[in-house]
Parts: sequence; structure tokens; C-alpha cells
Amino acid sequence: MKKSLRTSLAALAALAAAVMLPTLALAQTHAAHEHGKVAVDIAVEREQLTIGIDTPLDNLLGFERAPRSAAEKQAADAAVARLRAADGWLRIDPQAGCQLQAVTLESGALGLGGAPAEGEHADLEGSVTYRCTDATRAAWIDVGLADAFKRVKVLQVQVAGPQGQAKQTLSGKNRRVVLAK
Amino acid sequence: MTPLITLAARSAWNRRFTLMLTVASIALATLLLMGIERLRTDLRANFSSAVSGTDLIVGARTGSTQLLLYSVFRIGAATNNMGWASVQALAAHRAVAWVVPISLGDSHRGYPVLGTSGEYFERFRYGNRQPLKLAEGRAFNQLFEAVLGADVAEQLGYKLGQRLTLAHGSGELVAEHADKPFVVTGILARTGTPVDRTVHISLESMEALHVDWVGGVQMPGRALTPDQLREMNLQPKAVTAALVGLKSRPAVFSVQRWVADYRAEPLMAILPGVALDELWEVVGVGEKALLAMSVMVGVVSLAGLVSVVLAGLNERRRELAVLRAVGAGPRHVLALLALEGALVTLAGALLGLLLALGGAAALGPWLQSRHGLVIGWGMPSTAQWMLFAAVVATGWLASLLPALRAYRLSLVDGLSPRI
Repeated sequence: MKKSLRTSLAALAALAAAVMLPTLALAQTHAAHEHGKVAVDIAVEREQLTIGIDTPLDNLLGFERAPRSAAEKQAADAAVARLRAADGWLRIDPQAGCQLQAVTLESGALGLGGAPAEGEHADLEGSVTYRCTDATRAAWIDVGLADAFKRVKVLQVQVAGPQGQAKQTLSGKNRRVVLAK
Repeated sequence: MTPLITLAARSAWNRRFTLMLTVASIALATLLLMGIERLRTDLRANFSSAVSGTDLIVGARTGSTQLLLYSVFRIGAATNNMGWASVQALAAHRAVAWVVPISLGDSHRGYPVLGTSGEYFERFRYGNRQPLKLAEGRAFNQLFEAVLGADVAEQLGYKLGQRLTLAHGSGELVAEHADKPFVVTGILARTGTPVDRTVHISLESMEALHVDWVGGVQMPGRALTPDQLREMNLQPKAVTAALVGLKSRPAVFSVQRWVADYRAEPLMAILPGVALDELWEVVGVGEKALLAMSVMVGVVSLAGLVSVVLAGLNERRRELAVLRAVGAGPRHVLALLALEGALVTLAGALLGLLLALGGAAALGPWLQSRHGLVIGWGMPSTAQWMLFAAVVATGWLASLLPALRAYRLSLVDGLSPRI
């Protein structure tokens, strides 16, 4: 019995290894680049809520290099403006009393600082900071990136909050990150 | 209504053997459903409580689940080590509050040995951020001292001051570090986590064990005495992983990226809670399969209940006809059979519940000592009550099927049914 339980545990570990290795090794590195997918990191502290995003530029623009034509430049400017207006695609539980404080965007290809674009697979990283009366009271955050940018299909969300850490995957019509366990 | 219950009871007593078998099969189905649900929730609670208060776990680049499994649960093995220079670089990061390096690989009579720093006993948290407590003695503070987890001490009958030797590796064929015995200086209070099944020694002791070993064997003629070792620089060159605490929570993602981009060697940092959720995504498939199997067992048991009642119905047509003759209406017959079905299902489900609770209480200590799995045997959870209610409701509905047939038959049957 003992041996069979041990064997089961080992099999479980092996299964986990086999299934998770290809995806997670990528998911955990900085440069994970998968079209349609956006990595969203949410950190909750009492007076501050930080939402980080890391996305291939393709999700926002349909191309992922520096814009070449006037039309591409216009599209890039519009996407950046939409991201900067974070209240348009982020909605936080009013219980927390949060006010948008700062939005920083980095993308070498778009001339927004950060590492210079290498090849044809440029990314954009962003960080949105909110000042809150008590962010720990927020039970949810709606991340509407898939509404703002039609090419966004899946959000891989990591949450670090007072109730611990969690992972959520949002796809389809689901926009809500649940913070309260 | 009372005469009806008396009648139902007497009629059931008359067919007690068949009904007892039905009750037993419903009880087993309930036991299976409740048992799997309890194991599932308790296993999750056990895993979730194994580490808390650690913001990141850093190790050689691999899958996040693997890193979590071997660094926290001692399941599987590391593919690579992490250089000591990287540990120091991590500790020097401005957002990092503390770093507790851990080194695995050796064992003692099947229990894993963990090399770590003295800070481990202050920083490590489990459950709801509970710190480790020493039940007896003190933490190690020099070479060749060991602090035992509660299960190790209890199962092997070790006391403070006892000497033990560690084994190189953890497989079936292990070589003993017999020339360097350790002395037990402390025994930790029970935590219900893998800590209970671990022998803790200092990183320097771990290094000292392997100084005169090359390629997994001790070099002949190169054996060093403990006194010679005390004179040496025993700073480890590499460790298995490092537990990291940060000064502020929002830094967790930037430090994670910093580690992923670390140039000197390929490393990764995981958020333990996130890695655990990823583990559940994989395990969840197996859990669903188990639950589906026990639901199937439930369905088979209820099908048995229906067939037993249906098969008995032909024999009971005379009984029911007599009841009709003495003035019982078809509704009474329907009520009689529905009541019997409800009682049989309820008795089976209650028996199953008691078996599940008793089983958890009886097997709990064995599961904890052998496998470190803490099974609660208190009141059933909401999910368990819901399963219980589902069994009772489905069983009762299933028993209505033959009751409806009996109701129809009792309308057309006379005192001389065509059997």
C-alpha cells in the first residue's frame, strides 16, 4: 500500500512535469511571447494597487515592430492612448476606493523606452498604479483588455495579495479577476 | 400516518435481507463519494498550508511545479543546482528582505535531509503564517548537529542527544556518511507539513559531509576527521533552491523578472501560491475522474435499489392488494412505497457517512505518520453535506419509480392478481 501510494505520488509528479514543463518554463520567463495572450500581474497592498501587463505588440497593433507608415503610426498612437486611459479598460471594486495614479508603458519598438526592439517580435510592458483608501477590500478587478484590443484572447493573471498568491486564467467573456478567496 | 409507518416497517422487516444489501450498497456509494471529497479537500489544504509567508522560491530553471514539488514537498529532484554567488546576488537585491537557501539530496532512513541556514527556523512559515516551534532542545549552531521533524523523531524513536548517520542520496542503494555522525539537538513541534518528515542540518554540515567525496563515493585515504573539517571553509558552492521574503509585496513581480533575466546562470523564481494553483490545474483532471467514478458507483447502487424494489413488487402484489381490500387507497400504497424508499436510502446514506467519519478517524494517524497527510475527521464540510443530500434525494427519486408502478398496479389488481 505504502509503495503504491509513493508510486502514485511519483507518477503525479511526473505527470505534472510532463504537462507543465513546456508551458510553464515559458510562462515564467520574462520574454514569454505568445500571440493572443497577455501576462497580467496584480499586487495588492493596503494603499496601493499595481497592475502590470506584458504583451506581444501584435495583440495591440496587429504587427510587432516599429510602425513604418503613417497609418501604422496612427494605430500605435491610438493603442498607446487607449492603454494610458487605464480607467477605460480597468474597473476595480468600488469598495477599495481607488484612484488612478500613474501609467507607465515601455516598448522599444514604439519608442517608449525599455529594451530596443530585436527582430520582428516586439513586446510592450506596462504598469498601472492606483492609490486606494483600502485596496485590501477590493473583491474583484475587471480587466477589459480583450474588449479594448480584439486580438487579445487570454489573460494569464498572477495575484499577490494579503490573502496569498493565486493564478487565474481569463478567456472568452470572462473579464473578472477574483481577489477574495 | 402512524399505522402506515408501522406497516412499512413490518413489511420491510419481512424483506430485511434484500433491503440490508441495498442499504449496504448505498452506504458504500456514499462512503466513496464522501471519502473522495474529504481526501480531495484535505489534500489541498495540506499542500496549501505547507508554505506561507514566502514571496518567491528561486531555483535552477525548470518547470514551476517541479521547483515547488521538490523544494517544498521533497517530491522529485532538482535538475540543476543554483550557484552560491547567485544566492548572494539575490540577497543583495534592494527589494529582498531575507533569503533562506536550502540544499537537498541526502536522506536518513528514508526521510529527506535538508541543509539550510539557521534563519530557516525564524523565517519559514506554514499554515496561516505560523512559525516553526521547537518542541524540545534548540536549533543547530555548529557542525554535525541535526534538528528533527516531529514524525522523524516519533517514528524512529529519537531523543535529544542521540547520534545518527546520514546517507548519501535517497535511492535504494545509498552509501552512509558513517564517519561523520550527527547529534540531535532539537525536535520541532508538529506542523502537519513536509517539515515533520525532514531532518534539518546546517549548510556547512551538508558541505562537510561531501568535502571528501567525489562522484558519489568517498575518496579512499582522503577521509577528513570532524576536527579537520571544523578548520575548513565550508561555505557551500551551490544550493538546491532559495526561499525569498521581500520588503514589499508589489516588488514580487519585478524581482521575479529580475531572476528570469539573471545573466550569470539560468534561474527562475516562482510565486508558491501561483505554482500551487498550476499544480491543481493538472491534479484537478484526476480528481474529476475519481469523482466521476464514485458518482458511477452511486448510480449503480441506486439502480440496484430500483431493481430490488421492482423485483420484489411482483411478490408484493398480493400484499398490496390485501391492503387495498382493507381500505387503503392507491395514494396510501404510493406513500407506503415512497416512505420505504426514503428510509432505505437515508439509512444507507447515514451508514456511509458514519463509515466515512469512522474511516477518517481510524486511518488518520496512519496516513499522517506514513505519508504526512493530515485528514480531518470532524463534521462534514458543506460540499460533503451537499453530496449526502444529493445521494438521499436521488435515492428517494429512484425509489419512486417502482412506487409509481405499484400505484398503477394496485388500481388494476384485484385480490387474485395474474402472477
